[in-house]
Amino acid sequence: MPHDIKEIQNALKECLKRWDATNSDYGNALLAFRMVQASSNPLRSDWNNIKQAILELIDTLQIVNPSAASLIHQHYITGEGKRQVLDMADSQRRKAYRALSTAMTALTNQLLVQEEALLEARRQLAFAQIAHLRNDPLIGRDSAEIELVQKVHHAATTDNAVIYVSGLGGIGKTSLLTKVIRRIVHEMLFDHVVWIEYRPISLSGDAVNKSGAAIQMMNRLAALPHVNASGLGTEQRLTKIQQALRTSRHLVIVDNVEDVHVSEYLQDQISILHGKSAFIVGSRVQPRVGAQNHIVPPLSVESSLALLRHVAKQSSLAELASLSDKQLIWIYEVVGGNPLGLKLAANLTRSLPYDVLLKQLRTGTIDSTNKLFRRIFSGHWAQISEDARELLCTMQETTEEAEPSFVQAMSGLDDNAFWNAVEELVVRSLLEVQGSLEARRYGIHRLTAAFLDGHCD
Amino acid sequence: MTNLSRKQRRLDRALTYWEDMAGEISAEKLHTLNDQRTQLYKTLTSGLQDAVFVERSAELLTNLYPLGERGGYLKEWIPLMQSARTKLDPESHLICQLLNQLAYSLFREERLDDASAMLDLTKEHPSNKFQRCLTQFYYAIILVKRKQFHEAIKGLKLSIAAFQDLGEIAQQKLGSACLACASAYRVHGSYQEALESCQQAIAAYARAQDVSYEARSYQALATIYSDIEQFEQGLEALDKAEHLLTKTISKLDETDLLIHRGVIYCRQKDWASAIGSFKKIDTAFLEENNNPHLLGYYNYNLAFALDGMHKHAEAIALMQRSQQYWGLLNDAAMLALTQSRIAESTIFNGDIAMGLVLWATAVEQLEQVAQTDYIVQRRAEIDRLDTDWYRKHKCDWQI
Repeated sequence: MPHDIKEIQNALKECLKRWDATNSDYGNALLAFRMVQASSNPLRSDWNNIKQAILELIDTLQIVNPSAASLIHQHYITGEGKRQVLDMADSQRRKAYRALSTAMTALTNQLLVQEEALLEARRQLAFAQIAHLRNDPLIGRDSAEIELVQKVHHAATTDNAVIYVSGLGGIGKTSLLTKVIRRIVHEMLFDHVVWIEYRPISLSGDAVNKSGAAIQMMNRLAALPHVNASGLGTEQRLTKIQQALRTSRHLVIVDNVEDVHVSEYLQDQISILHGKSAFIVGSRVQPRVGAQNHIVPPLSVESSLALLRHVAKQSSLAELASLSDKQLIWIYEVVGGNPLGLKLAANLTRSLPYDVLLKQLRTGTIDSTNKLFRRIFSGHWAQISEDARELLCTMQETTEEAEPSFVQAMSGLDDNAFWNAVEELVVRSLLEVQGSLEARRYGIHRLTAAFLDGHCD
Repeated sequence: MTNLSRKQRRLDRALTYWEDMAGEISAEKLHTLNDQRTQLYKTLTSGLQDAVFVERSAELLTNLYPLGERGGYLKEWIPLMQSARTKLDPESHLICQLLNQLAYSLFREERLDDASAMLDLTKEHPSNKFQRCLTQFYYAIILVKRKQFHEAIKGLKLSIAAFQDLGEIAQQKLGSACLACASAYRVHGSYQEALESCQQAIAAYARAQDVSYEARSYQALATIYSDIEQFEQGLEALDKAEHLLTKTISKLDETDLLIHRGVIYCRQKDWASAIGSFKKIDTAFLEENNNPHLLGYYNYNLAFALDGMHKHAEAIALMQRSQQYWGLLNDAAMLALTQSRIAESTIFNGDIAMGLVLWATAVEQLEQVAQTDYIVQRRAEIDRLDTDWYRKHKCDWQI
């Protein structure tokens, strides 16, 4: 479906011209109306509904141009032949042709107004679907962003596209994805955008099984209002989802996939959802053959320094802000270009002198990112207040939908202590803020949760 | 509680949060439950996995049950109830209550055998008179569902008598039993008995001060009056339902009442009043709520009224829309019925050839749902329309 207004205008004019030329052939002309109406209401796919849509348009046209409305009605709805319509319009054939041409232009304009309104409404709706995602500034990812946007653009024009955005924990997959998806939503390349944040802990408390992410994806797709398949059996549900993915373009993002078995099962499930839609998987593991892989690399030295300076300014870390590039680079040498690692390490300077922090981070051999994170988290754990610890442990046991009032009740903290703990953790990048001002939610990064496993009894 | 670990203390506080919600049903509580349903599920799951909290979690689950029923969560709570049942001490007084609730949840999912099996298990656990009456009542409604009319009525009558014996505490359930009895009588065609049972239900719900179900009973009464073509009494019953709900009416109840009123007007062939009633419905609200049942009935019945006003094209469009919802609900009977209405409207609209093709499809669908009487009845009408139209227009017009 074209989304560019100029493109729509040309398509509409062409269809109306052909409709006029063939007169009895509804097919070509109806294509235009299908195109416009399908975007607002997929149920309007048969002649009677389209006719109803045209009648509604003619009613609106009646107000601004009654004679045009009358001509269009006679020609397209009553089904009079062109000659009769022209005869009715005027005895002078040339004038009559002009009248009919004006009428068609008026109808085209009417359709355009409607299409523009629909596009805007859909854009708002799509933004509402991703409003809960955090909107942090993205530093040092310009080229990665451009490259991923290009891949998604390409995916929008091909069928069954699957893109993996892969990389280590904390490398910034979600941040990059969020930024790119905001751009894509603005461009309206897809009719629907669905964001699924995979949670590996099953509700029943059982061990995570490989189908978890795929199940969450299918449940979310089934629950979309235009799919409406939540209450159906497996087969019917799959059929309805496939049908929806065939009819309109969906961009489905499944973020937070960590396990190779979960990833492979998810890829298998995606492969049976044939359609015009594109899938993006944010994953710590690489995809199998059949999916494009967009690896998120560590930040360069320059970008890492820029990020550290940004954190220092944002979190008012005076000592960090006063360091020269030469001194700042030491932290990069230990942590590498991992944005979350850099942010967390930078925040440790809140209560540790820089040289002590470096010494602590360098102690022992750090042979994996996870070990480095454990070391950084241990530093934070030692520094944060008892209330902040209690809040972190509580967060580990809540779901993403838990309201702050529930989290507070479960933590046992009073109002003051709770909000102070929230602030303390947010400043240290240990608590992520999501959602709108009216419905704010808090979450913790998966690496934080992994660290807490051994620290909350 | 002093020896609890920190994790257990968090769980203890989470359970307390939800315990404060149990009890009286309110829109605010339903809203909180809806927004944090997976969190509640997680809390209950954790509670049922910790021996210290099993009894308390099971009790919370049984206390939240009415809220879950109102919010439509019974299906997703079935695994929790099953887990609670196996983890509770067999001598716990909660087991029977839990089994009854589980049976009813399974019954609502049409899992009649499973529901029956849960009721059978109640015999193995300590119970009280109220729970035993409830078990008997659930056995009876399973029989209603299985269309074993005589056995069902027998069981329901016994349940009604037992609930009456229990006095004040069982008035709400007495209402439910009377309403179930009315429904069974209606399906059986015993309208007088159905009316009497409905009146009994109304009185019981009034004694229980359950305004919502009292109004629902009036709606059931209206349906029965409409069946026997006593439309004025039907509309009066709806007035009473509306009056009862004046203070507490939800938009969903209001929509339901408006559709119901429209249907009665349609049956009276008072098309203008029917359309007036349907037009008062906030369709945007229905679509937002994603309620295929009400959306299906709204579109179907409005189409019926528009057909009556000779607005056939509009009627066809609405009936086609209702078919989408019957499809979602897997309601083959309504799909077939709607298909036959579309066929008739298409003929009324002047496209005889297409109408007859659609009618042939409708017949196939109606046969599959054993609506042969209806086919015979409508075929006569189709033949008449066909002949009339050809005579009048010579049928040279087609889309």
